[in-house]
Amino acid sequence: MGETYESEREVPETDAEALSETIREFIANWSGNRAFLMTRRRDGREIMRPVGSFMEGWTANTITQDLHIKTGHVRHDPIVGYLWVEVDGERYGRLDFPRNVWMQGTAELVEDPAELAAFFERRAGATGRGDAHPHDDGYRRILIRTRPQYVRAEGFYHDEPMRAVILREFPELAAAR
Amino acid sequence: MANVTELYEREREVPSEAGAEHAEAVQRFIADASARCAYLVTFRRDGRPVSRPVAAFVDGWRIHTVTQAVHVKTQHVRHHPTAGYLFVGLVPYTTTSPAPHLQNVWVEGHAQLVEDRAELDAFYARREQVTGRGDPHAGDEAWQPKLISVTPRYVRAEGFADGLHPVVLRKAELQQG
Repeated sequence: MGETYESEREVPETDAEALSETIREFIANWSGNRAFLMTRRRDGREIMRPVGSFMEGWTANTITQDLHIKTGHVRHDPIVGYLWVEVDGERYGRLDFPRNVWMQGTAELVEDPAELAAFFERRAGATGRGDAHPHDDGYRRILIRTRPQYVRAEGFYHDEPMRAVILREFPELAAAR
Repeated sequence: MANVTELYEREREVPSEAGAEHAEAVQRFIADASARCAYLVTFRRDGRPVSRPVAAFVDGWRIHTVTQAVHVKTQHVRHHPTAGYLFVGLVPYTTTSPAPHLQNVWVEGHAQLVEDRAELDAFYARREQVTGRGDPHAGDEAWQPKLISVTPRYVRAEGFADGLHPVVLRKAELQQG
């Protein structure tokens, strides 16, 4: 195994908990990173593409339309993953990579117009960006709402940034259930 | 402001003949380790995906990552021979979108776990020939390398054709390369 393995080991749980809010703030900063969403075809093969993401706590939100392939994927398979990669930020480790966060979760499609209107209102309150197309009747808005089961972040652990920070518990979501 | 139908059209896949014209640029991008970072997605036994940053050596369209038995990704590939790589550019490019855009390439393919020492030696020799980097752990008995080798079936690339149009390459086009 050797030094390489040791330098990449998961950090202690207490340290991961202490970094949890920093990681959540990192993925919520949509202008400082790029988000990619992974969904799966009916045959199980996965696809990843860039998306916009708006965080509410640990819940990730992405607006889509019924004609997009990812919408059909989520309808048939709720397992998804997000990857956030920092833009123009710090680099870390032997690979000189930007900081990054992987989140695997379960997604639902929100299609109720009242729920969508409430979402756009909350997003407008937080970012100034509400419904980008309020007068376009040809646009059937759907929200992909993802709650995490597993988060893996690299570049955040002070002196050993290649060690993975892994989060498996999300108290805010447990409290909401 | 463009309506949503126009926005959807802007994001449609480029025609296959035009996509093939970009294939070489896409391959060069993923092969240039100084221009991008790489993330490998593998699957747990229950089907849930995990992504992590990795070093990747790209030879033609085949993608290789050195691993060890102790790493989770090794077990994942052993039990589920499908994997994906996301390659993300390190320098943003300008679009009309408020969020930063980075060139990105998603590769989905068949993953093979190479454990035969002679095959590993041949890999290191090939990598050394191309990059100057052979086996950095030669002589270290604690280091027990294996190789994850992915043969692509589907490639989706953004930032290579005009605007946001993705270039999509499928098996037949990838076998020509």
